[in-house]
Amino acid sequence: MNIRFRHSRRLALASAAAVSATVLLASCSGGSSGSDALDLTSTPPTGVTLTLWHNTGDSPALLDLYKAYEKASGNTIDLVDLPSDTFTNAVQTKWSTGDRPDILEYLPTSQDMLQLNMAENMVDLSSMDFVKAEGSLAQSAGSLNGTTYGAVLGPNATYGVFYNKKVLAEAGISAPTNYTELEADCSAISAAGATPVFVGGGSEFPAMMIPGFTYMADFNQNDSYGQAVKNGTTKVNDPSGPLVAGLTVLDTLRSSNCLNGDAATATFDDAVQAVFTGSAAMTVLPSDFITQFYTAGNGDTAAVDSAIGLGAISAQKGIASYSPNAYGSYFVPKTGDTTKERAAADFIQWVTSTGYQSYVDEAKIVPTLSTATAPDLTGLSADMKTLLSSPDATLAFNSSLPGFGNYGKIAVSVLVGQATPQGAADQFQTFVDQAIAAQQ
Amino acid sequence: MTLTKADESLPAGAARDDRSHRRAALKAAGPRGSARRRRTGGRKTYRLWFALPAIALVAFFFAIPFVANGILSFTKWTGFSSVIRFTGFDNFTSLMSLGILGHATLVTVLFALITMVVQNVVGLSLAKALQHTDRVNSVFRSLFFIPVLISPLAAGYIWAAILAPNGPLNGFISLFVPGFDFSWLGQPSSALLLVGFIDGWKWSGLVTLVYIAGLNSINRSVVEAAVLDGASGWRRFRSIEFPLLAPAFTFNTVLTLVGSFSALDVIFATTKGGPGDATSVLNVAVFNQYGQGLFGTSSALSFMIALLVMITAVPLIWWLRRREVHA
Repeated sequence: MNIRFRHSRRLALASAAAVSATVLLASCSGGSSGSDALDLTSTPPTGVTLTLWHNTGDSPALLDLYKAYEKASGNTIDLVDLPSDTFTNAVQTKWSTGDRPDILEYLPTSQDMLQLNMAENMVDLSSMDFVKAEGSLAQSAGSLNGTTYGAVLGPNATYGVFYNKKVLAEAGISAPTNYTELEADCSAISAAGATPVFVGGGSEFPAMMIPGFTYMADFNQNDSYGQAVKNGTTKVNDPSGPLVAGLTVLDTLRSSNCLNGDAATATFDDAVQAVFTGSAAMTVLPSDFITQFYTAGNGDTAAVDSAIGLGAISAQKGIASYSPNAYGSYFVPKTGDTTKERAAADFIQWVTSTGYQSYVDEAKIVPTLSTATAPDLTGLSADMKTLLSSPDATLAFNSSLPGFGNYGKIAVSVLVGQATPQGAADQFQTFVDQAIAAQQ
Repeated sequence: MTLTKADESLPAGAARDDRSHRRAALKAAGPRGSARRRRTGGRKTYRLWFALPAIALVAFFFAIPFVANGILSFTKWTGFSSVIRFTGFDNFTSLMSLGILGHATLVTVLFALITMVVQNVVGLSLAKALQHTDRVNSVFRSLFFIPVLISPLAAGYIWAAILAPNGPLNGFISLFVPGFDFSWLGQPSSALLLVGFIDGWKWSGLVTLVYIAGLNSINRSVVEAAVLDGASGWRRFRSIEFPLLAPAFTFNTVLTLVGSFSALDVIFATTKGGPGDATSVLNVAVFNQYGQGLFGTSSALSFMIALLVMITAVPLIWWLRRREVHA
């Protein structure tokens, strides 16, 4: 009896393991099942319902774009909300179970695209009309090894310093364009009674703005830095390299009391409020935060534009970096349903052509495609356009950087004095190595 | 299988003998015995049907995921490729060399110890204070149980606001120390301790109830005898109540320690594993690895949590149960 029981228990365990392994391997290693070459010349279907995994942070202009497409095409867009603060994780979670939408809104940088194995899982959109209309802002995103998988409508984010004009005037200084100037300005701003630079490190990503997205702009022309790290010809922990230097700037600002005392726990909302109210002179954030400044000013855009400015800042050159956003970037996953795949491609075709201009006008963004012209932009939006349109602007350093997902914690560890710049960079290099190995 | 009341009154060996006699008698009884056997078999099947939902739930939501997680821990499974390859212990060695496994395990153990101590000390103290059921104590019992009912995320956000540099705690301290400004959750030294305290505060109400039940189940005559013998309150607690609370102590210790190994929500709402990696418990590390498309290493970390629970819980329960017997 006992022997039989033990035997059957072993059998049950073995069966469970076998079932688990079978289920797992069947669900996870299946890869794509859709067609490799979608006929984009055929007449697009109508009356189709398309699921769209979208970021809950989508602007009203994007939501209006979806509605406009529904009206124009006769198809229905079924929006699946994915929370903006954990967007990539939410997509990864659903994606890894084999679930697929008909249209995916997602980050179009090469590292993020690789994480979804787009070469196997997405429909090749290279032959679509929008590819010919892509400007430099769009060309740097949405494609892998010369194949276009995504349409990037914008807004593209640019990274710069938001400053309170009155506070800087009272301190007798102008907006710094490099970190040497910024360090020198700290004492004058402090003497004027304001916090020189506010960092919302509690939200993690603002901690990356100074040492990464802005400082590194000088070193990533044509994505050279990210590619060199990816190829292994450059190490992020090179003691004389720019990444260590950027972290050193953050460390110097922290130790010289240039930053707010609660930099480790304050959030990006706190940063916007502090600069808007003048308790802090500057904060370094993506241009996406223009909207938050307008919100802080109760929608009085003219008042906000007269109080707040946005300028480029980098290690030395005073240039900005930019990166494409998940917002307004669309991919067509291979689902095996050619009717829906064709309808999804029709969606891409429509939003990049017929519907694009009205979207650009409503969103007040710099267009990434030549199928629309830029609307008249004023104030902070005009500042953003200046930064994005500069021929010196470079692609953000993270676009091709393997293991970038750990950089936020690395920057915070320096921000709170938990790690030295070199120690933090050494730790980051191990994450880079892990990511490179995972991609092989 | 189950003992009748008559069986229970017999020594174990006698009950076994009685059952074998009954089996022999049934065999000898022929067709009538077969009918009884069928009835007994039917009763067993009937019980199995009742157990089936629980078995199915455990199988689908625990056993299969657990086995699957174990298998995936030894594979290279990433978002970068559609192929899953077995790679032996590579995930574990990689996580070790990255410093993630050692650090996250250490932080998890420290966090669990802090929460266990906080919950049991606070819970036992409150249980002693609120042991007797009267109107006032019932109000306070309900009051202290409220945090248990609050969402862990909400609890985390509330405490993050209280502990913020410009929050009410610093405001209160500033009344006595003007200009006091300390980033409680922003310092690696204080963040882990405080997050542990917050989690402990959150669940102390539950532990309190278990201890109250334990205290009230102690035979009053034993305590009264000690009172008559002149034993002080502390002596009664140390020599009588605490030893006789052993079953409640076992339950609370294991529950609080093992439960804290898989904590994530409170930590995510307060520090997100930061500052830096000061509060990065294993589940935070799982989340971070997963978010980068490294599903195999993420599974390996999850597997570590399961191992940690088993390695800790089994000997702990064994030791505490022995203590119960001694008590």
